[in-house]
Amino acid sequence: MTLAKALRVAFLVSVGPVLALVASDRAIVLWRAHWAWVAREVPPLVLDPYRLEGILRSTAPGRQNVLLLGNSVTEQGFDGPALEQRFAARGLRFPKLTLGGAPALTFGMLAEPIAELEPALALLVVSPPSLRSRGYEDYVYAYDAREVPGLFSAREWLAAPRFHIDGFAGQLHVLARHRRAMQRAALVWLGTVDWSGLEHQEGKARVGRMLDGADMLQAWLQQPEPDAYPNPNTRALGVLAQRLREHGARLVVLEAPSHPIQEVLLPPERIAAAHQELEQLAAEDDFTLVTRAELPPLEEDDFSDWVHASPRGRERLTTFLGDYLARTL
Amino acid sequence: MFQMHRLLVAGAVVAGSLWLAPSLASATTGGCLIPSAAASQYMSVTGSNIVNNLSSDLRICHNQCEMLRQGCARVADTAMKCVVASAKADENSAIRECNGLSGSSKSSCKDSAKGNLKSIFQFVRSDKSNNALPFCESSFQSCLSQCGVSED
Repeated sequence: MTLAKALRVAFLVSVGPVLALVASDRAIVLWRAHWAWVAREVPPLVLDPYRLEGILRSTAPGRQNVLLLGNSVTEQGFDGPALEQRFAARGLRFPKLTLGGAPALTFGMLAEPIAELEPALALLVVSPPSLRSRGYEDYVYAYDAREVPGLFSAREWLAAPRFHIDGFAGQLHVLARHRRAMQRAALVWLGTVDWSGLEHQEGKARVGRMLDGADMLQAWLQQPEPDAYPNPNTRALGVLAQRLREHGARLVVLEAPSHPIQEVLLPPERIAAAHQELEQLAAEDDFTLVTRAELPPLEEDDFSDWVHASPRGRERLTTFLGDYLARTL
Repeated sequence: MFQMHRLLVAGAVVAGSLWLAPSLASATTGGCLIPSAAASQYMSVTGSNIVNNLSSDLRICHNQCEMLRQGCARVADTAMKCVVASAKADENSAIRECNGLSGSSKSSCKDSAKGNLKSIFQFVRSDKSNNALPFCESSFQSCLSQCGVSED
């Protein structure tokens, strides 16, 4: 083997996989019909990070967008088609960019693609657990290294290097962030399973985690110390507000509605601390805060469990949001 | 052409290993506590507030303890209903999935879904009866024992 040939082989072995990775990532990311299919077909609370990227990639930018951001509280709390019907004359669209169990940090990581949709307004629903200072990393499925300096202090970065390394790998390659979801979606596309089967699997997993005391509300309640502010979740509000402002849009942060039983179960001092932090951030970071006190009073029948709205609660919250938007936009 | 072939093979190996790598976790959400956890949470928030503010009047103090017992039991009961309602919603999606099958596999699929719901129901009922309510009762007794006790 000549030196030139050996060098060529070494070059191919070292550079070839990188080029192939880039090519495979670009091929999937630029496959618009695929993302449109994902946005249209994948039901909520099944393959949420994949579905969310599908919606982001297939929603046309424009001021007719009013974005509804948050976790399952947003997903189940607002009726997008009813809002579209109410504002049909103005041509408003209400894409829901939701991710089950997502802390606020998710939307700081997604600030740039959200702002690039050039919405008239973006509404983010938050609760004290979604603003927690600990144990949120496993629930964040989006990463943007460019936003990290604005979201994390050096100490916070060093406390969770694995989160950042995994997140960065996900940012670099679509298979690193969505391979499991893509495998499942491929099975649906091939007709091997259907969405109701996947919904059932996810539902079963959710009930299992609830029985194990491992879901977001429970994990937050079990946390022995109060949340420290500011933290990456609260900073995410400022980052998102700033990116939206740069694109001529405004962020509205809405405190999640509270089930009556939360009044006897949630530590009032932690609820008050989260509220106080939100008030301060709204003034500092220039976003609008809609407090829980401004929401219509909700009863037990307005909830399907202790966190999520029932159909009746969704109707009341949707009417409230519609009235708010009619005054604001 | 030979070099292109090697490039494709290398790419397929790398992309394939990414494709087959261990899967990511999925998103989660949930909104209930099991009865024992709910009773414990009630006692640490509302219950402790009651116990820390017991009246020196014996009758009022007993009423406060009774309020604590009823509040705790109500929370445990609501927790059981919340978990069962969530599991029921899951059962409905399981039954929708079963409807895609036919014959005996359809009925065994539905039986399995109903069996899962039943076992969850039994678990939370047992948690309520054996853990939550006894805890409420012992907290009540502990509360009563503090009535009439001077802090001096």
